Amino acid sequence: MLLKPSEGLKLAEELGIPVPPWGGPELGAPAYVKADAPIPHKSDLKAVVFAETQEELEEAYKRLSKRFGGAIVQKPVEGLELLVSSKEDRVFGKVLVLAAGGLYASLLKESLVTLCPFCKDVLEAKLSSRKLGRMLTFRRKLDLNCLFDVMRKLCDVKAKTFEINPLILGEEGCWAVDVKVWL
Amino acid sequence: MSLSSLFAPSSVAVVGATPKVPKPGYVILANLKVRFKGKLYAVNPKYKDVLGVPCYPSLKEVPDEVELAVVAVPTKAVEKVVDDAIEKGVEAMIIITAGFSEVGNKDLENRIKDKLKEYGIRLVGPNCLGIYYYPSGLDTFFFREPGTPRPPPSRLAIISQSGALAASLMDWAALRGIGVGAAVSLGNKADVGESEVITYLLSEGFDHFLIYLEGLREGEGRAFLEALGNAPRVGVYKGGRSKASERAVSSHTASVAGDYKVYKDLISEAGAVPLETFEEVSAFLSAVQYSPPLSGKRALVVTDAGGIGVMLADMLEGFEMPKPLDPELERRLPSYVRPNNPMDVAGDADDERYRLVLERLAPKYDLIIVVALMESPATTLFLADVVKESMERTGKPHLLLSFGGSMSGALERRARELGIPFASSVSEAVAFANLMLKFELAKRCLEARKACSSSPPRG
Repeated sequence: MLLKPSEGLKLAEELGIPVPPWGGPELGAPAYVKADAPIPHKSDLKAVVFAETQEELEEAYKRLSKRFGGAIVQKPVEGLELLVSSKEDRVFGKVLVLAAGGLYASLLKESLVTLCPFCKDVLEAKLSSRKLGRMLTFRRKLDLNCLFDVMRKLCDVKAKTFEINPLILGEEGCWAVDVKVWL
Repeated sequence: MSLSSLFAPSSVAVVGATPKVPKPGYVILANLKVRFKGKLYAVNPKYKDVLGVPCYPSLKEVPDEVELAVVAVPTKAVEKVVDDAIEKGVEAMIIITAGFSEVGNKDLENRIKDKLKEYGIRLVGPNCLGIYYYPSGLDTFFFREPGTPRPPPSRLAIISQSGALAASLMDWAALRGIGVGAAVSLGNKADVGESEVITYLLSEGFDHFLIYLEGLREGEGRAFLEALGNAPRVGVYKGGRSKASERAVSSHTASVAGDYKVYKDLISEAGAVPLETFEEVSAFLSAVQYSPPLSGKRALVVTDAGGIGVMLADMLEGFEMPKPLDPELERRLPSYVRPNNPMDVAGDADDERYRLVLERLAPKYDLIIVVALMESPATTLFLADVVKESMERTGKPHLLLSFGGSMSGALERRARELGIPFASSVSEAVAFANLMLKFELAKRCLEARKACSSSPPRG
């Protein structure tokens, strides 16, 4: 069973995983407006809108609420887009997955699987031989500790799949923008 | 519980033994008669004697102790043999016979499994070729010698879910003189699986494992990874990489990290290396098993064939190939041979020139590939000895690469006698180099994991 985005974000907050400010239209533009319904690929259904102005935001909020039975507003955050998730593997038990998110996902086609509990040194050794590793250390000094902390927490989750896509990794902090949970 | 009754029993009964030539019950008994060091019995109600081995109507009637029963009877007769084996009090069984869960006959397989489990009798199979184990001479692979000879012994074991693949690899290894000390075809894995076999063979001194794996059962993964982590070197070829089952899943996680990807990444995290091509499988057998571990990324290529050196340099992607600086070497070489990397020793090079170059340069590098195209006039098959000396002196991975005609064949035979890494093609050499890098990385991951497990988790 897939949870609604608002439920996923709440779960992330409960786990202590940082999320961007989110709520209703009172948050103000510019912001993303998202359908609050359990849809695996929201952009395919045009269920996400970026609103530059407050008018656009109010309009989108009404429209998506009506069409999908609910909507949320979320403030934008800056950084590198990653996919981070934990899943229950039939053979190996709980594993973590890290992959390039957003635009880079289809370009890099690279992902990395590691065993729970999370071990930073294992992850760093694995990253050392991959493009994904170069992407994380290329040019910018990203807040890798924030990423590691999220991964550590994902190992404790009780869900078939707990997917953060994207997790935006900035220079100071990281944020789970979209959280999809399959119980 | 030790698997010694399966690998090194003091007595074996072949149930379904027959004098009819092409049948498994004939070949197994014939092979055991030649190799097996313990007591041997045949079981078949039709005969009193098969190939000179005393034959009894059933297991129960064998007048002596039977530690291992090897079963090659029709599917419908297997359950009766299992009952007899329990009554007889055997310690272990290898059921060669097919026709169980692999064709949907799960009930019969489960019944047999449960019965044996109740009496603590260990089982390999069904639907397998069983065990080839050089130290005890146990050999249930129903492939006949001399048509399919057995390879020279080594501390490498092949563990395979596909019996035919294990047999082909042994055949191929035998032809090239590559060592294999044990081969286990696990078939349906009703009882004994990879993890236990690795653990047992490790305790018997085996240190290299080539595993062909189609799948593990639910929840078996962690024990498998732990067994991999205890072995010095394991290469795993994972069969069944189809994505068909993953298409239906809607999460990105499932599409970027499907079943094969999970296996691949976790195997390498456990200190082992997933083998992805047949080239890597062959390099693991022919070279990796004879090599000390890699500890850096500087590669040296020494060659009497400029073109091959350049090809290798192009393909050794994960390595650096710094140029050597060695005035003394330069002085001692003929004027038309200059220290370089690839180090072209020229077409008139003899063994001594190779020896000089290796003495001077090998200590400065982490991986040394020696190319010898044996068409040149001055090199001999004792070049393999020169490479071995250099490998022993430096403790660093060396690979001898040669391909071509009968002289290359002779060089390979000498390399095999000496037990040094040898490749018979550029792609096998490149696969060797890449595998050495992957093992180095896998060992680092394993060490990191051990350090994590032994320190309390943070926050």
